[in-house]
Amino acid sequence: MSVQGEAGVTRLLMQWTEGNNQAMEELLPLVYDELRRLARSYLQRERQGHTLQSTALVHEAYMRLVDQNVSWQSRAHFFGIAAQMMRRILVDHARGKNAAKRGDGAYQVTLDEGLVAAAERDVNVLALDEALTRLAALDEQQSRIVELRFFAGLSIEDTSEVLKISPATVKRDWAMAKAWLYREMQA
Amino acid sequence: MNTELWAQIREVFHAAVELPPSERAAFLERTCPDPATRREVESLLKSHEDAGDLLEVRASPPHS
Repeated sequence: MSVQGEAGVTRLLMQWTEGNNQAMEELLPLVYDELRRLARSYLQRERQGHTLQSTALVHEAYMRLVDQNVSWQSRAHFFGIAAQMMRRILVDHARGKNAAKRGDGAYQVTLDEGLVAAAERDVNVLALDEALTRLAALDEQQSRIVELRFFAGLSIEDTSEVLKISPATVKRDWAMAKAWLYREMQA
Repeated sequence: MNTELWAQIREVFHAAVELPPSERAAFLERTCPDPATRREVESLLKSHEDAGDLLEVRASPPHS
């Protein structure tokens, strides 16, 4: 991304933080495109494992797109958007747009930072996405926590900053959301 | 499920999940007279134990 791009995203983030919703409309495609571009380049490098390192992608997009001197509110806004866009990218990806081209059908996307993917971390992204949409109808806050924690890899503390709730509440709601989602996805 | 029931379940779950598993049954007995709420919280607590590190992704700096 060009210097102009970085300045543009930072400026839009600041405007949005000040309450300009038009700025968010302009920001969404920029963040989406950058994340998708990064995702594609990761996948090309890791042809065999289909490993998408969602946390790394979101942080890399942040480093590339945003001037690091922005306020924490603007930073929070960025991660809020990036989490939603990452969710969309992973869902699109899992629906097999790329898979169909390669002819290997449906598969699971491994969301893992480590070198070895633990079985527990393999999640069916489509089932998760659907369950998460149902959770949002019951509890918007819990669904946003899952987006931020899972799709953007934010810590409890960062998530609490983004949502302006206490870390203790994030922790308990995260536990409840996971329990609820786990049960839904077993059913 | 209605919002009011959800809020009630959430409140009880939040309190119970902080306790050691061995103390949860007695806690629910004491604080949760409504059987429907209690069943739901019990079911979620069980899922909480079973879910393990579902969805856990370690936050880390980007790979260079």
